[in-house]
Parts: sequence; C-alpha cells; structure tokens
Amino acid sequence: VIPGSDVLHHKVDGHFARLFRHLLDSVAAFDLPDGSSLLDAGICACFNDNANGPQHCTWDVPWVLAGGAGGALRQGESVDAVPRDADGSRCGRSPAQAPTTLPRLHNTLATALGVRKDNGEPIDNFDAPKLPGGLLSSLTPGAPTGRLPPERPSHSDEWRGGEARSRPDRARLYSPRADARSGRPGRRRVIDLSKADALAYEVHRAQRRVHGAPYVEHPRAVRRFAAHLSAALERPFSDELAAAALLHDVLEDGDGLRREDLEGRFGPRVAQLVAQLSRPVDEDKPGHLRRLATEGDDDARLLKVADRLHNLLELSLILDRERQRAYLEESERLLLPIARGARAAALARGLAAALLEAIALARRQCGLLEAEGSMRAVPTGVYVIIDITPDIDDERVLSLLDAAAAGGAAVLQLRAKGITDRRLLALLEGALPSCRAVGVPLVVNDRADVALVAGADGVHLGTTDLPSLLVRPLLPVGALLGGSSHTLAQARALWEHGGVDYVAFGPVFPSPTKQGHAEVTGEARLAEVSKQSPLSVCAIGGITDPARMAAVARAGASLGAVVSAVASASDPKEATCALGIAFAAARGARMKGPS
Amino acid sequence: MGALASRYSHGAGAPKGRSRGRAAPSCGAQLVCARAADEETAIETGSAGFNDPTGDNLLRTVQLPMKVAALAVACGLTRSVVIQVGNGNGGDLRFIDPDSGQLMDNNHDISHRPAPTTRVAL
Repeated sequence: VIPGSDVLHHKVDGHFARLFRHLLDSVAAFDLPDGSSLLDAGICACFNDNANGPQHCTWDVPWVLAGGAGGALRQGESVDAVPRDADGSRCGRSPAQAPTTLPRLHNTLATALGVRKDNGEPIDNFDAPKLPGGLLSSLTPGAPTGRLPPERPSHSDEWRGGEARSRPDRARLYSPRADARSGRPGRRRVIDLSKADALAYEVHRAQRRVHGAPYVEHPRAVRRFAAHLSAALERPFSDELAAAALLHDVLEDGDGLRREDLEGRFGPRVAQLVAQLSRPVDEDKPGHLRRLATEGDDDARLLKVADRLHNLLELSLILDRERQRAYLEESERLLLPIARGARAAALARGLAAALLEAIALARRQCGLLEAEGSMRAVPTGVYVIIDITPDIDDERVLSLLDAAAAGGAAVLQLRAKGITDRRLLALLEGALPSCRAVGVPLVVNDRADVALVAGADGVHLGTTDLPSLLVRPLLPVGALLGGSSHTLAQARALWEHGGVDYVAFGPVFPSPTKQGHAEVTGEARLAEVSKQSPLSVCAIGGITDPARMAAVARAGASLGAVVSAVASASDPKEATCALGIAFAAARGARMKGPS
Repeated sequence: MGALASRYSHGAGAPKGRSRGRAAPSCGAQLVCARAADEETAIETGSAGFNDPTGDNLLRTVQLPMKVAALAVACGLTRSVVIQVGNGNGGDLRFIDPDSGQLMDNNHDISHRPAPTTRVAL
C-alpha cells in the first residue's frame, strides 16, 4: 500500500459523499400525501464495487443506505460484514467466515421494497445457492423485533388509512434535512442516531476493548441489548434511550466533552441519562455503582444492565481468570442491586433475571462452572435448531453450533433433511465434544437410530416419526426426549402417555421456515398448554426475534425454539445471547416475588 | 455508485416548490428544465459520448440525471434507478485534491503503484 493513500482516497470519498447527499436532497424534495418524503418511502444506496484498496476485496464492500422504505427498513444501524481478524484485517478469512452479509443485504433490501418470491415468502436466496440465505435482522423493523412488516397491498390503501403515521419506526425515519426545510409545525424533534453513532466513533476511535476489538463496537452492542431488553419487558425504546446507549461512555472518554455539549446536540434527556451512567473523576467505581443503585432512574438502570450484559458476553475473551472472577463477583454484588432497585416491579424482576442469566452464561463460557453442574434435566431458555440441507457445508453447521452454544443456547438440535446418514453421523461426532464442553445438550431430530449410534444427548420426534413411547426404552437414562404437537389434544397425549421429557407446541407464530404445515396456534393456546402441562413446554414456530421469544416466555413456555433467528443472523452468537436475555427477562418479569 | 428504489408503484410524489412544465406524467406535475436555452443545448450536445476524465466534472454532470431519476420515481415512471459513476476500479478518473487544488493520481493508482513502465527510473 502506498503510504498516505488512505488520506487521498478519503478525499475522493468526500467527493462521492457530497454527490450522494445531492441525490438524497433531490429525493427528499418530494412530498408524499401522508406528509413524509419520497426519501422516507424508498431506499437510496451508495456503494463501491470493491473495497480495501489493493486487496480488491468483494466480501465487505461498504454500503451507505438512506431512507426507510416506508418503515420496512430500520434506521440508524451499523452492520459489520464479518468480524475482523485479530490483526484488524478484513480479508483473507477462512471459508467458515463466508461472505454472507452482502447477499443478505440484497435480500433485506428487496424484501423491504416489497419484492417476494413466487410463494409469497420474503426474498432470502439472492446470490449463489450454496451461500446461506436469510435477511439481516438488524435492519428489519419493528424495533427491536426484527420482524418483517405486514405486506401492504397498494399505495392507495396506504395513503387512505392511518397506518403510515402509526408505524413503529415512524419517528426514527431519517429525514432531518427534509424536516428542517419544510418547517412543518407540530413535528417532534427527531434525534439523529447516526450523529450519536458518529460521536461515539470519534470519541472511541483510538480505543480498543481489552481483547483487542475496536471499542466503538461496545456502545453499539449496548444499544442492541437495551433494545432487546425493552422489547422483552414491553417498554418503549425511545431514540433518547438509543442515543444514550451509544453515548454512555463518551463523557468518561471524550477529551473535554461536557454534559452541556450532549444537551446541545441531543437534548436534555440524553445528556441526563449519559450523566447518570458516567463516573465522576472523584468517585470510585463501587461508589458510583452504589449511587446508581439508589438514585438512578429506571431508564438508566436498564442501560447499565445492557452495558453489563455485553461485557459479560465478552468476559471469556479476557484470559485473566482472576479478573473474570472479580468481574462476576462485582456483577452480583453491585449490579444486581441496580437491576432490583428499579421503581417498576416488573422491570426490576426482568432486569435481575436477565443479569443472572448473563452471569451464569459468562461463568459457563469462562469455565468457572463445572459442565455437569450447569446441565439440567430439561433446561430453560433458547432451543436452537440447525437445519442441515444438502447445500450447507459442514463447516458452516459446526460454526453455527459453536456460536449458538457460546451464546448461551439451552438446547441444540440438528435437523437433517435429505442428507446421508454417514454425513449426519460425522456432524454429530464433530459437534458433540464442544457441546459437552460447555454443557449444552445436543439432540437429533427424527433419527433415534443415528442419535443412539452417535451417543447424542437426546432425540426429538415429530408427529409422523416413531412413537415416543417406543423410543423411550431405547435411550440411555438421562437422555432428553421431546415430541411435537400442534393441538392441545396432541400435547396432552404426549405428557400423559408419550414418555417424553418435554412437549414442543406450535407453530405459535407464522413460521418463515415451515409455512402452512400446521395451523398457527397463537400465544393464547400456548399459554393454555403451558398451564395444563406437567412437563416443560417448548414453544416453536415463527420465533424470529427477541420480542417473540419474550412473548412465549410470558405465555409460560420453558423453552423457545428458533431456526432462522440464529442461522440467518449476522452474528449468531450475539443473536442467541439476545434471545436468551429476552427470554430470561420476560420470564423473570412474569414471576411473582423477588428474583 | 448510487441506486434509488421505492416501494410505491406509481405517482407517489409531488414536487415541492414551483415547477413549470414541458411534460405531465401521471402525477400531474408540470415539469420543465430550468436551464437557459443555451445551457440546454450545451448539455444535449455534450451528452453524446460524454467522457470527461476529470472526476469533479463528472460528479457535477451526474447531478442532472440524479434529479431526473428522483423525478421519475416520484412520478411513477419507474421504481428503481441505478447510476454508475466511473468504471470498476476508477482507473479513468482523476479528482482534484480539495486542499491543494491539484489533480491527484487517477483513483486506481492512488493505492496501487503505477505499472513499471510508467515509473521514473532512479
């Protein structure tokens, strides 16, 4: 690389950025009948055809997107193509780190613009068939659910009704220039989250996390975790909260940055939240955390817990065992009071449950808890199903299993359709040691014979597989046996004389991976089955995001099964963790009495 | 370099401000080119085979089709537009350094050493 070339390219990038702004201004100059601009209704994209200078990398070409596709595209997000290597480089990665983000970005954009496959499903298969498909959940709306918006038949219906004004992402739409120009009265202030992200980037640009990652990834993750917590606990996730999450460390780390500066740029509420989360120079850390436990408002507590959740998720990356122990101890001693001190009782219970779940996960990841001790007969939490199809390679399957286990999955299941028995056996033999190392049971769908040969931890049987009562005697003592059901009668048959350990019930929501194979049950019927069942109930079907995971926890399920929510996520480990945190928070909030 | 797409099938927008017109698409807007006649002639003359290697000129010029693209989407004449600025590696374009005012190396050579035949022997 020629020295200084980055500076020169930056100047050229500046030319193109100004040109892109010209496009945005041109598009934002058109009003729609609902008062929004054409920019709100569409998507503008600016991108190169390759990246990384001389390397000509095509895997992580930077894209800048503007516009909300009428609420179908989430705003203010930053998506990393793949994790950086340890040396910070972004090319020359192993095949396991497949270049999947850009194909998924294309899928996401096409879907946001209303394009569907012939069968009506979202576009999820752009690019080479061998690449795993799916959408980028972080860009799909319904903050922070990642759900797809309902299909809207025509623009005329859109304009006629009030739907356009009531969409959840309305206030987040990026149109600051259009708003400023139009000067319409009555429009509330919209915080520009991209500016909050830019300030966080600027303040932290020279900093690294303890394990070497760019520090700015931390406040971005805190924002995601805060969004997941808010959804799980049915609290609004405002732009103020999002901005405060992004900025929660800038007063401590920004050279000369003051609370008044934040107030001027992002408003008094954001500045107040960040100030509560910032430790004054004359206060020690325990003192600050104790003060937050007694004086902090509920939003500040939620943000502090989100901050700690992300740190706990990455605790195993710190190699110093004593520091790990000390951090876990501090989390229990000083952070739990912050969570439990929330004024809203359900919030207090939910935050405490989420924190305890993350502490347990961190203990397991750090090897500070014996695997035997963490293994439960029927665990609770996230049940991750990995679909093995002929076009997904083994390395991808194993990496997904590893990521899900590291993210705190309670149970893992391999579901193989159309592959050879030998391949399934080899995959199980490859995956079982690492699953056992972290104490996560690995069960096999349908194939009791292969599970027995491989020594898997259990079997899950569908309604057309071998009867569970006949399979039970074949399994070793302690093996997990689950059965599927779609109705209360089927579920009752399983728990009364099925010999199973848990009952899977669903589809609770419309499923993107199994459409039309059974009637959608809804949450009310799940609640009824959970109430009547003496066994653990695993909700399945359409649990595509943390908000739906929280919903099944509120309905009383002990487990929530996911497929695409992890397999299609840009970061499967964090996605699993977010689902687990949402489950624990919602389950904790549902419980009566102290957590 | 740029792409624009909308969910809406046609006639989505009405332009702000005044407009005067030559064409009347389905949205009913009165459209016109606001340039003087001699400027229009210059644009029409220069458009065929436009090939200016100075990047800054190209970026200025491409603003015009951008405005047309926005208008076309707003009026429902199309739902998507792709505008490519330059070629694959930007090897044909040279941009002006905003600090020095001088033309920089072509965009490709900025981060690649020129081919040996063009290097000055020392």
